Amino acid sequence: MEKNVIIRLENITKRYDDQVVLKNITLDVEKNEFLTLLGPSGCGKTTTLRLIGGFEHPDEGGVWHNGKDISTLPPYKRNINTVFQKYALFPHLNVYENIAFGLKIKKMDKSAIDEKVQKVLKQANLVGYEKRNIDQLSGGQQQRVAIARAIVNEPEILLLDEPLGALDLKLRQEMQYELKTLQKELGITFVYVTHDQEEALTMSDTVVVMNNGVIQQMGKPEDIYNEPVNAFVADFIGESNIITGIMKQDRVIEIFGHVYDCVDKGYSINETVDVVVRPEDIILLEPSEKALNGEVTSCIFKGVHYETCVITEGFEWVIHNTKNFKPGEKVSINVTPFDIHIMKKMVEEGAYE
Amino acid sequence: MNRKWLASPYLLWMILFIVVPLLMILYYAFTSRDAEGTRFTMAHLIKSFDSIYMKALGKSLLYAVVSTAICLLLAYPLALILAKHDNGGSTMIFIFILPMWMNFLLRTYAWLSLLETNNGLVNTVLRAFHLPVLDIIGTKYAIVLGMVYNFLPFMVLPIYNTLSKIDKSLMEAAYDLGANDMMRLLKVTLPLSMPGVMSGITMVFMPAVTSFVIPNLLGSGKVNLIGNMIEQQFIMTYDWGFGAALSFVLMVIILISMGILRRYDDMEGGAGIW
Repeated sequence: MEKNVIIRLENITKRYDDQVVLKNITLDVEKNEFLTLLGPSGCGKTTTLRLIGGFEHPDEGGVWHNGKDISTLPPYKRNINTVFQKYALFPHLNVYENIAFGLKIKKMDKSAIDEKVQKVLKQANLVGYEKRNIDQLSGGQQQRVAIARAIVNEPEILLLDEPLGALDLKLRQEMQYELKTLQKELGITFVYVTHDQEEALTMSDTVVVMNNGVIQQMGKPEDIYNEPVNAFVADFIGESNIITGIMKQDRVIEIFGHVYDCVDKGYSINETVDVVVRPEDIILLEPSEKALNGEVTSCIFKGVHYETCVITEGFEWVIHNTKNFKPGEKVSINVTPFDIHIMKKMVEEGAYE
Repeated sequence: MNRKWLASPYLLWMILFIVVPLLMILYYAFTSRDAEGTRFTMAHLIKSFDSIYMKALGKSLLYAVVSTAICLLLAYPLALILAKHDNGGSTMIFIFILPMWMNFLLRTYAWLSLLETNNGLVNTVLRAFHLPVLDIIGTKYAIVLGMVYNFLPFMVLPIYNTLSKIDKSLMEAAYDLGANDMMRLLKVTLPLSMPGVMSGITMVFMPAVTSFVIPNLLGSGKVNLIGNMIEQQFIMTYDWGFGAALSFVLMVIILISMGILRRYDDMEGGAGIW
């Protein structure tokens, strides 16, 4: 495992004036993986990316690239390229010149430059646009130029700072697949920043969920979705019902005075915990003694499913199912033990919202 | 919505203060008045091409080009420094343009006494350090100094303006693509600030080429530029017709040089700086 680490962030703390934006971050990026930094705005994900790119330098800790400390190395001395959030294409240069910029800086000869530029023009689907000015391109095309301009330099690592943020939904979804394909084709490491959990889950090999300058969870997309470590991650990745519960004993949880079976253990008796239940894991049945009973407040058609809201003891549950309930209907909340996720109560300091 | 009438005061202003004076210049330049009345004439224009006036015009252009070049060389680095400071820049700009609140004539007179050979501040200081005295009043150096001093802000401000509007992410992109500070300046900052440079050049070159107060005062009237020649026609020899013809020629020359400048600018913009 060790030898595959291409970028290591070690105990990094970063402050702007008095504000701490990154608190003791440690993160390994493996060679050739697609790693996504995911979190709400202001969580420190972009700062982390900029540390790797060399646009920021850590106040404490170090950035290591292939075992070498590059913490203070300026961006132009790193074999890393960036696709900027608003593309940052040079308005005084046309498409070809923008892409060739990095190669010309390296004083490569004209024919070698041309060969490389033609190759990425093909890869980025930009053949025929060489002479266009930047302002004559659509958002999607500018995006491609930005990616082409970065990958033509054959970096070891490509950093992408919310590159799809400015595109419309359809294009964004197309680009997600294209980016993933491109990453496999190039066989290089992608570090991707986004606040869009769907984007993160679709493209990544590894997702790093961040909040308030702290890494909350790091793992495969499936693991992050299915086994969130705390209520923040559960809430940020997909929709969740987060309820305060009391652990009665191993594998038994009490929610709103009602006892449910679950699969978690190792908590102390009567410990207050966060209980997370995904909306799609709740089954609504006829009212019964064995479960929490409530009243449907609304039921909205969402295409694939209905989004039903049920109120029990003042808590509003969100449920995704395929049946259309009528507001006012009485139902019971049923969940299989495996779908009840118990988490330690979050300490106030790292609290979400 | 038809709001064109809102522009009417502006239109009136333009007609009153730009179009009418221009027409009057044309009128005076191409007519002569004597006992028989007013007649059309080319005599003024033909006289304008006498070598003495052409020489003065050439000299004016030379002084203006030199002053503009010096202004550009001083202003660009200054504007770079000002634009680099996000907030401090505006205070520095304020300090920088503070002298511009004072009357142009006063400032030029101030230089006259500063540079005065015997008791001027500059030479008093030089003498105190046992350095050679500067006796430049009445020379071309004093005139260029006066022009550079008076017109420098007009070069700094437009360049500062374009520089401070350049997207910072472009600077980072250049860094990211392997450009060091020098390359970044040459390949990104400089080409992107060309509009500011162009308007700076225009705003310095035009007043410099027509200036007559600076050569009058700092040149002690020993250097006759085209502006002085025109002034003399109006206030000394009262030959308004000829003065107007000289103005007309000067105007045409300025228009041509601005045209060349703009054309060059367009070519730059189209083909890129590489």
